[in-house]
Amino acid sequence: MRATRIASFTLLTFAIAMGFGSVAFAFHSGGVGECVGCHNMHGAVSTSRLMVGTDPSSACLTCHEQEGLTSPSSYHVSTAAVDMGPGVAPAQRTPGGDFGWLKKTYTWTVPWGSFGEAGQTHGHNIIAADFDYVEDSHNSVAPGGGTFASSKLACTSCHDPHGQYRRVGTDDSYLIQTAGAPIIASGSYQTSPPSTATEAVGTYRLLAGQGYAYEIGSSFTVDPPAASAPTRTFGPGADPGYNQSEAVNQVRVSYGTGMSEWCATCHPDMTSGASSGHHPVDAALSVLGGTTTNYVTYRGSGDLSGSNADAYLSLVPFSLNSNDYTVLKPLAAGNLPDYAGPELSGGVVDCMSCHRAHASGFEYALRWNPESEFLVEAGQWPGTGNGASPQFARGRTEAEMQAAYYDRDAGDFATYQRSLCNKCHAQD
Amino acid sequence: MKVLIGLAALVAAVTTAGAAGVTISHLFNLSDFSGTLPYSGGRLVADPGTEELYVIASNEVRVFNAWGMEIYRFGLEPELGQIRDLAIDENGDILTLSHDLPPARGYHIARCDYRGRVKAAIEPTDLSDEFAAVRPDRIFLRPGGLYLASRLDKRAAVIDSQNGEFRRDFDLAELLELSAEQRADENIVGFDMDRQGNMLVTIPTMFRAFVVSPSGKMNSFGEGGSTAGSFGVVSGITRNDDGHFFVADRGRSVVMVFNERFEFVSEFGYRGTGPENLVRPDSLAVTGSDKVYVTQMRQRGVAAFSVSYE
Repeated sequence: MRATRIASFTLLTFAIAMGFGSVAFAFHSGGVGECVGCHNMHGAVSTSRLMVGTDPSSACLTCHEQEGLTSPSSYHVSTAAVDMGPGVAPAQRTPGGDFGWLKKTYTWTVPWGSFGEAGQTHGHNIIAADFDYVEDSHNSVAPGGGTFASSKLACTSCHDPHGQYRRVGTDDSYLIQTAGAPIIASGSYQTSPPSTATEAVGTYRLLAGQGYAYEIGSSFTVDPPAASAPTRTFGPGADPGYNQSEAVNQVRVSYGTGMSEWCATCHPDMTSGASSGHHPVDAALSVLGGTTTNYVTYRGSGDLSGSNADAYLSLVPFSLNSNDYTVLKPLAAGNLPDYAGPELSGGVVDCMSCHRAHASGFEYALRWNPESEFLVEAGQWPGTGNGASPQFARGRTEAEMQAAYYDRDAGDFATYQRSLCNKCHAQD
Repeated sequence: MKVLIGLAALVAAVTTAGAAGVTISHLFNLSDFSGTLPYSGGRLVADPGTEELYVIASNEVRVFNAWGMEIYRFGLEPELGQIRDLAIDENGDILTLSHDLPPARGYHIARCDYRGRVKAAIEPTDLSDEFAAVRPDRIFLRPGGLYLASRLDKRAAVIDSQNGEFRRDFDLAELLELSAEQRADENIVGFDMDRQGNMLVTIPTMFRAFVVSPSGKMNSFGEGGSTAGSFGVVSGITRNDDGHFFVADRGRSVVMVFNERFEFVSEFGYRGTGPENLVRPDSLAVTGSDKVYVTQMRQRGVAAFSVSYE
């Protein structure tokens, strides 16, 4: 394949004009990055659109996966397979989760039989051929009443790669549009500049909105959710940002509104409510039979001694039922171990309360193990090799289990800690 | 046998773009007796003395001879964690750098024999405060000592290769003239050291490659773009004995060749399905002046190319 020589001064001029190399959050910055970052004008051999990857997700992971990373690192959302040997968990700790969990399949044997947990059950099976991410072999369409074909799932099914969706207007009164004002910065962070009528910021995580065709013939009919994530800051009280181990601090993403109805684009049955046999979503904790009180006081199995001041648990986050970024941004943080619960701000349960958006160390991208009686056994994370019951360890080493809980110490919970459904329901 | 057939296959003259006078040919892909090994990625370390190549992937090290055949493999004791990099000394000892599994942040340097059996631990001592907080992920044995580098923290240090005694450290962000914000958000991806002890760095989000001499003098080159010699999403970097730089570009799926004046000379690979093509090249290693190894994705394995100059 021969690359054609073309004078590059126009590209250089463009590149300099874009100012890359001197600005934080290079590349996306809330909108569309340099075209040549994802598209190859004269040498692409992608299936379509002159992508630098075989498919859209491969193009994304060209930057969002980096081999050799063994600890959380900013915008990386996937751990390379060569960095995940046996017993080694994915390294990234973004709130959305590390896609590398899709490649971690576990098997275990108990007296009553042998069991397995396929890696593909751990989250959204994006198809990225260059990175050995393959189609979900179990769900041919999106579960939960959806019709979206699994064969089409890509990063671009949810994220607009061109970042056209933007907030136009003030932080507390804006419209989501695809035009109307230039995007000056990302709108995903607590440090994002306020949007105005003449200078827009990108939607949270470049999530797509109304009219975005996630597949031919199907478009989103709702705006992208409102949320704000912590990002790295400097100086006194510096915040490590959204991608960090939670061994010491917790990461609080200010989930605002609209998450569940947005997810329902592909998983419509999930929002039909308890009357239809589904867990309530977008429902205020305060009206759900004392759930707020449970959330505030629950610290672990058998421990309801807590107070609102430190009630927040990022393993069971609640939404704030607000799309006002003057409210959301100040609450996004990653530099403290404790944050306030829902007592004063109000809390809403939504999809993100239980699931991670990309993948997790557990089935169905849940934030905790849904399949075992105990999450913590005898004061330790159950794992192969530490004497734990195999039905609790589920084929994982203790280190992998701890990694799935974002490196928390088992001592943060009860010595025999049951499901974190109890954070809201306190039945243990 | 498949391997012998593979080795006997015609060497494909690789289509390249760039200056005349350079011929780059695909030689072979790393194999064992079952055939080409379907690596997707991996860390490459070359032993120029023996022309052997070490590939680190999935916490295992495989050793390949000069013809790309696997000759040995080893792993580390579990308590040493996950192997990240290695260096080979003039006596054939292998110095391994490994990380504890998260959330622990410790690392270990072990001196191993040629079979990968640990002979002794090398404990760094008297580290500077700045480097004491760092967990290196690269190790090199060069004139001056044992170099440890952290791409994430953008710091490097030199210690004694026998007793681990600290000698000096480098603030790479300072040497690369990065601002405080750039230090946090511009990630070093490619990091290598040439035989003279120059540090070679790529930062893809800056579309730049950097060369830092042992005295701290910095040069940089590269510009963003999609034409021949332009940087898309650059990654691995290395340098051969005659001074040519090789820079892998994950975005354009090429390996670019620059001379010692940082002038673009040629490039090879390009996305495709032929043996001479590359899919997302990443890590590079060279033996001598004339052989370049490249990792790539999609289980296409590690490819070896010959480089010759007219």
